[in-house]
This record gives sequence, structure tokens and C-alpha cells, in this order.
Amino acid sequence: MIQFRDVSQQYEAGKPIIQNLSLNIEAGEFVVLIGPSGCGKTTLLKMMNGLIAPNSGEIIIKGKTIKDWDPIVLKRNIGYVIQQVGLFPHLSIEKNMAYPLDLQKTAAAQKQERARELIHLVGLDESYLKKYPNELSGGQKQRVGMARALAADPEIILMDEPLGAVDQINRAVLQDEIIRIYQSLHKTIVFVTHDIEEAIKLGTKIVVLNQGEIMEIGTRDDIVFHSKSDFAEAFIGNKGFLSYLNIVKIKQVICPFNGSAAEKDITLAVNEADPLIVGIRRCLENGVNKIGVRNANGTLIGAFDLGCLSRLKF
Amino acid sequence: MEFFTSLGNLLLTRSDFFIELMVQHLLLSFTAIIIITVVGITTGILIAKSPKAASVVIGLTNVLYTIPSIAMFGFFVSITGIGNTTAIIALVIYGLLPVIRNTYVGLTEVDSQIMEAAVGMGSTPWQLLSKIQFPLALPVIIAGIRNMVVMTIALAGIASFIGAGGLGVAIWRGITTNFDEMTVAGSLLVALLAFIADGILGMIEKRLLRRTK
Repeated sequence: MIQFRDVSQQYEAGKPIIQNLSLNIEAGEFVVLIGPSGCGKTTLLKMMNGLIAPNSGEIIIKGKTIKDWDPIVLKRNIGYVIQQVGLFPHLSIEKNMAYPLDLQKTAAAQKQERARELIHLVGLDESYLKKYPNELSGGQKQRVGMARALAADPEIILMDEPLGAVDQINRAVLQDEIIRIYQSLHKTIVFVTHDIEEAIKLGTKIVVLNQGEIMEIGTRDDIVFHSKSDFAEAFIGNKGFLSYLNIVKIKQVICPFNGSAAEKDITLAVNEADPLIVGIRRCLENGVNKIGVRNANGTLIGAFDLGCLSRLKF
Repeated sequence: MEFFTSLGNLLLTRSDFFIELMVQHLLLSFTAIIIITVVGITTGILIAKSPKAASVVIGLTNVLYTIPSIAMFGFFVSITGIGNTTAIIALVIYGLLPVIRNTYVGLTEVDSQIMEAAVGMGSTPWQLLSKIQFPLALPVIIAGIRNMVVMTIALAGIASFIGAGGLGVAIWRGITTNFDEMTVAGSLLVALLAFIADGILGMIEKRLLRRTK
């Protein structure tokens, strides 16, 4: 879907932003670009829709090199969400969401219908259509920003720290929303963040960048447990591991019962949808190695076993 | 008190004369206002793309703005003669500064994040200008136009010194014949026109501001 071949970029001589970078993003992946400020992650993202042209190297989008794309058509084929949302203050929410369609001179009735679909898709109700951006909270604005990126139904969506300005609680809610949209629409998403927890939670592929180079690339298991570079190890480290425990569900590590009393004690049992960290805490609190796991109906379906965890293959 | 009674009498008995002057005054001002608006906004849009051109153009209009109006009228009389044409040229030169400057400032001060979002979604330069940048700059541009309209209507009063029509005729006649009521009547009507025009534009400005803040 998106390929970078030996791409380099620098704004002033001797200060490279991106150095000989190659990257391959497949259709349907959720790729998170993460790294410290100035590592080139936003530059990399802006190269994908042609906002920044590389000094050298080749970028291929949907099988066609970026030089062969009409820059306007390329941008219309890619959804784009930015941190400050960038909603247009003089347009209603409906007009904001329909803006990408407006650019392509879509019929008014079709725009209206699409706006109604989109507002539901991002979890708001139709009363918001007639409102203006200044009447919305930060989280609501970001939802509209996402809806706008989805308006023209692009296959690729680029998100540049979309949740950077949203508070902790709303951020978690919006992250779940993004995962839901990703899973239901099967888009290719490239997401820039500097929040390790967010990266571990969202990405099917995580790219750790530093000084314009890829330090590490892989799934969350790869990044947390099999880091090959010292930089990625230090950058992700225990924070990444903690996020991992917060995100991986107990459902993925259920062991068979083997007859201890604690397993059968329903008051100790955890839900299969809880993250690992809840199970570990419950064990430590109660001084046991194993506890039961119940499903959504409340029936015990297996055991959560600290001893079992070490045998998991990550 | 006696002065005001005779002023009232004058306005009533010579109402045809004053109405004719007001119409002339409005025609003269509006011609200038329309030319200034078109030229000023176009220039503002063009220079918004190049900061270098902007500093040259705004610097130049600033200099023209500081020339005393009587000198300006006198200077153009020597080129285009006396009459309405000369008056309009001088009025246009004075009025351009606020419109060019406000158009430039309004366009260049639109939030860069908003612009980036619009560009990133695939707006053409024309779509960016017409759908995003210009509407967002409009309150600032209208403020400049409002400023210019009041100034032009007031300044058109001086135009009769170089043979143009308008309420300046009444003021000039009052001064030369030592007829105070005539001078005051002309001045009051100029002020009234400026006041009404300012009020109308103020209302438009308010409606626009409601949306873009």
C-alpha cells in the first residue's frame, strides 16, 4: 500500500530529518510511528500524502510512485487527521465533515446522507450536525476530525498525534473508538504518537524512530520482548511492558483448571476481558498463584495462572 | 437657538437642492468605494502569497496615505483636470490602504493548522482561498472596508474644491458667502451619510463575526 525506498530528507545541509529510510506498509495494517520529538515521525507521515517531498529516494503509494500522482488527487485519496483537529470554524459540523466531498463537487443530497452516516460512525448523534466547532468539547472535535478524514472513504488514513491534546480519560475512550473503526472498516492507518502506551495499544505494527532512522519495527510482542536495538529497549522499556500488561486480555492466557481451591473461588475470579495486570494484581493481593476466569455470563471457564504466564510464547 | 431655527428652515426650503447634493455625494463616494473594494481586495489577495511584495505594496500605500488630501487633489488637477474623475482617483488612492492592509492581514493570519488540514485533504489553491481562507478573513476585511467607507464619504466633501459635485458644494458655498447655516447643513448631512453607512456595515460585520469566532 505504502512503500518507502531509501528515502532521505533534510531542510538544511548536514541536518538530516530522514536518512535512507525504507519501510513497507501493507493494506489493512495499523502502523504506529513512535519516537522522541524531532525523530522525523511527522515528516515521514507528511511525505505519504505529498505535503513534504523527499530530497531523494522513492515513495510508492498504491503501486504508483508519488511523482506520478497528481498531488491534489493523491491527497483526496488519503484521509488526514491532525493534532489540533483543524476543524473549519466558519462551517457547521455537517459541512466540516462533508468538506472532502465538497472538494470533489459531490451532490448536496449525497453529502447530507454521508454526514449522517459519519456522525453515527464516530459515536455522536445527529443533533451535532447543525452545531459549530466552537460548541464542541475537545474530544467531540476530534471525533468530527476523524469523521472528516473518513468522508471520502479513503483506503489510507494518516493521523498525526490526533489525541495529543485530549485529556487522559477521553483519550482512552477515543483510542477504543479508533480501534473499533479500524476493525470495522478495514482501512490502512498510519498513526504518529509519542505516547508509548498508545502505540502498544493501537498498532498492529510499531515503528520506533530516532534521528530519522528506523530503530526497531515489529508487532507489540516484538517491540516489548524482543527488542534488538539499545535505543528501542531504553525508549520502550518497562513503560512499554506495563502498557502491554494493561492491554493484553486475560482471554489470551487462560489455562486449564488443575484443581486448586482458589481457582474455584468465584469471589476471586477475574473476567476474561480484563487485562493481564488485573489478574496479576488479584493474585498478589490474595497471596495465590492461580485464580478462576469467568466469561461475560459469569461462568468459570478456566484459570489464570502466574506459573502459566512464564510458559507463554511471546 | 435662532441659528438652529434658520438652519431647519434652510433645510426645509432648499430640500431639493440638498437632496440633489446628497445623491451626487453618494454617487461619487460609491463609485470610489466600489473601485477601492475590488482593487484593494484583489491586491490584498495577490500580495498575501508573497511577503516581499506585501511589504513593498503596503509601504507604498502607507506613503500615499500620508499626503495631505488638498495636496493630492491639487496634484491630480494638473494631470486629469477638474471634475469628478479627479475626485474619484484621489479618493481611491486614499481608500486603498485600509482595504489592502486588512485583506492581507486577514488572509495571512488564518490559523496555519486550519490551512494545513485543508491542504492535506486535497484542496486546490482556489478552493483553499474561496472556501477556507477568504471566509475566515472576512471579518477583518469588512472592518477595513468599514473604515474606508466612512473615510471616503467624509473625504468626498472636499472634492467640490476641485469642481466635483456633492455636499462639499454646500459647505464651500457657505464658507465663501459667509453663510454659516449653509456650511453647517452640508457638514451635518455628510456626517449623517457616513454614520448610516457605518451602521449598516457594522451590522453586517456583527453577523459575520457570530460564525467565525
